[in-house]
Amino acid sequence: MLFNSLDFAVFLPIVFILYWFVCNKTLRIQNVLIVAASYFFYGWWDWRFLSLIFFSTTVDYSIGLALHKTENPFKRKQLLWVSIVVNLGLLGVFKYYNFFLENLVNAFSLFGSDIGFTTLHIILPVGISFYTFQTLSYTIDIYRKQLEPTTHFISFMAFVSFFPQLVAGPIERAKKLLPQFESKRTFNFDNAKDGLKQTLWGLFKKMVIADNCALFVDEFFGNHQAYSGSTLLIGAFFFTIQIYCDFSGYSDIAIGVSRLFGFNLSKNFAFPYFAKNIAEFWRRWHISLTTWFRDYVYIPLGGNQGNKAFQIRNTILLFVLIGFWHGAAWKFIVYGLINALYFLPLIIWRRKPTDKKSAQSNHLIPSKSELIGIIKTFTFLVLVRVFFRADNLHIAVSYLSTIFSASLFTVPQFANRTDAIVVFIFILIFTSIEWLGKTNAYAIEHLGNTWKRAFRWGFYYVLIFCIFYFYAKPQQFIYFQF
Amino acid sequence: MKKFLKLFLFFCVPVLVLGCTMEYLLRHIPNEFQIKSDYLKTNTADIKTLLVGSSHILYGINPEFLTEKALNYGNISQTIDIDYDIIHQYINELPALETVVLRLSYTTLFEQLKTGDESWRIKNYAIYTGVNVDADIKHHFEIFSVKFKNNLERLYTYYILKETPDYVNPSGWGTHKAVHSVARLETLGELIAKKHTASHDDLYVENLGYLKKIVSECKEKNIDLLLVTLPAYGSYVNNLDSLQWKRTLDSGNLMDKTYENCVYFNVLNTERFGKQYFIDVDHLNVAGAEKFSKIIDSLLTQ
Repeated sequence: MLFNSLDFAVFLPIVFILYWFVCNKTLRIQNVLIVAASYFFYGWWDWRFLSLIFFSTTVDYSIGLALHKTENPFKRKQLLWVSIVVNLGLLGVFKYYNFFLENLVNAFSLFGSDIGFTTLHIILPVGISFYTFQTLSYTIDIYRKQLEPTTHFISFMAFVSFFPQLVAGPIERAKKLLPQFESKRTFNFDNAKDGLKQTLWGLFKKMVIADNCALFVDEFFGNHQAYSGSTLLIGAFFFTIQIYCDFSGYSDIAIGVSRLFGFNLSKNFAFPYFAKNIAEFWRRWHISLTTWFRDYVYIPLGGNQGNKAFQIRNTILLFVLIGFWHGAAWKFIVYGLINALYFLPLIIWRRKPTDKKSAQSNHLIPSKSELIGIIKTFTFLVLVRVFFRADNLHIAVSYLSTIFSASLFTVPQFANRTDAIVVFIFILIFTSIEWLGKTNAYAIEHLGNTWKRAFRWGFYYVLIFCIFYFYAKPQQFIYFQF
Repeated sequence: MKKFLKLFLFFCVPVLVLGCTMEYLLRHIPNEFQIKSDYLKTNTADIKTLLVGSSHILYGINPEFLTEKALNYGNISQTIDIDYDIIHQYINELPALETVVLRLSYTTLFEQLKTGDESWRIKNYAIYTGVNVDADIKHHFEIFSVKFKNNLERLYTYYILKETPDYVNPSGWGTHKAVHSVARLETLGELIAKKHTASHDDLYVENLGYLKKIVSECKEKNIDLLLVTLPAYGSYVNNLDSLQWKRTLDSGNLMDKTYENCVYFNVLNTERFGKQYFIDVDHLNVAGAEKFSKIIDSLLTQ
């Protein structure tokens, strides 16, 4: 069920009413409703994959309890490995099996050995990369004795399958979200009202900006041979905007909807395109994933301790893994690697990022150095995102070659220039609103709060009108494929 | 909570009022599905021939040139899964039905309405006909099926400009107004053929299954089935993918051979239809429809 679908518009009020009016007698009943609603929400795509969520939930719940019961270090390690193998095994089978097999065959063929193989015709279950990481972090935290396991299976089921963030995050830590399932939720007017506002803003980002950018992006990336470098550069720019509005829009909706039910999810984006350098960007982009890799991969590897070679190794490994998390393809590995390479100067010359007061601070006009940093980082992102969006490495290289050809200096070609101009105008307005609201949890958090109700509601009606009037061909959220 | 719900409902009132008004007004714009449904209701006892298929049938066969009473239930982008739903429904509701004429075009076995860009058209069946099609919730509403922008244009065109869209005659034949120039016929052929060539054959087996079910159900009811591949312009025919076309042709011939009640009539590449008979590369114009309808009538009355 997509957030931007009529199905969800029917589903959400029903669950909301049942949650606050029918199942509000006990916490347990409310949690049972959340589990039922979440499984229904997920099953709307493909009910067969519900068994995977249930399996992963049961395994980590049991391992969590078993870890708590034993102090034997060997046994604890064994239990941890069972959780890692099961969760990463699920990912391995459903996401990476064919990739590894194909590359193994290719490697053998280089040495003249032809081995037969059968690829699996399997669909990638929606959200598997998200919920497996969530359950994995639960077990690791218990192993590290940073978390007490829950004894409430229903609460744990609700934590793993909570429908607003089940399929594309934010990847929540048990330390933050699980206690919320184990304590009484009370309805908070301001929280719910703000949740609705954030949901509306998320829908606007997704349906007006991301989906309209997608029309051009799909065409330019689908037929890149037919376009000039200048056109393809605009295509890459549109994709950079699309992926941000798509994913951060999803996160806004997830967080907003959760607030309607009395839950607070983690912030997943902090205006990443206003970052002055790549380090700052990765602290602001998909925060729940980057912090997951930081805590469970980067720091255990040694993080930024040790000599420079050691730090460089850790950084490269971290980014390659982040890239590979996105999908089983070389293009994602290259995407991660390029990000790592762009990061290295910060390690080699030990540049301390001075971003603390940049986009976080509340000044209207950026300083010259700030502006240069933002433009430089954004330009890098526009170009490196070509690897993310192109169907494969070959196309990405060909796409970039065209961008860096003489045709970069020609007039861009658009099948529908008016639509392109409308998209540009929206991006401009959107960027301005984001810049003005860059110190908030989301751009319009405080926008209009001091206005008279008529004006404030008028603004919301304008957003709703734009959503209906400008919404293009409905697109699935990009991160659903991961 | 009460305050929240009260404010929320109050906020939603203008949106709901606007939405309901639009839905009401949109449903009152006359359309071909209503006309066909009305025709069915008033002629239930007399219809002997049911013509089913895509725009090829819609524009290609005019029931007024058929001897027996007929209804053209062809519609733009109608695919074989919908054809099956229609036939399955009316085969039981039309007591005098003797023949079903079904198009078997180049695209028939390789597409389905619900999977393509035209899936919004499912709302026409869900809202205006009694045909039990596989429709999402949104397809039961005009406002959710068609883009808001397009709906505003429809309202403006009908209620403000007082213009009516392209219609069908009472027996369902499409009175298409657009005509392409001869030069366009020559250049469009390759483009349209390419557009109609499927990028995959994922739906082939399922669609062939629908075709078999149609023939079988007709046989059970002692109804004859005439499978037709309508004429198309040379620039289109010459650019068709040979494999896709062969599979279509083979399927038609297989039905003809296997089932006694089924006849396959293929005139895709016929010299009898020159450029003066086409609206575009794969649709007959008024004269073409008259000529082709007479041919079909001669087959039906044999």
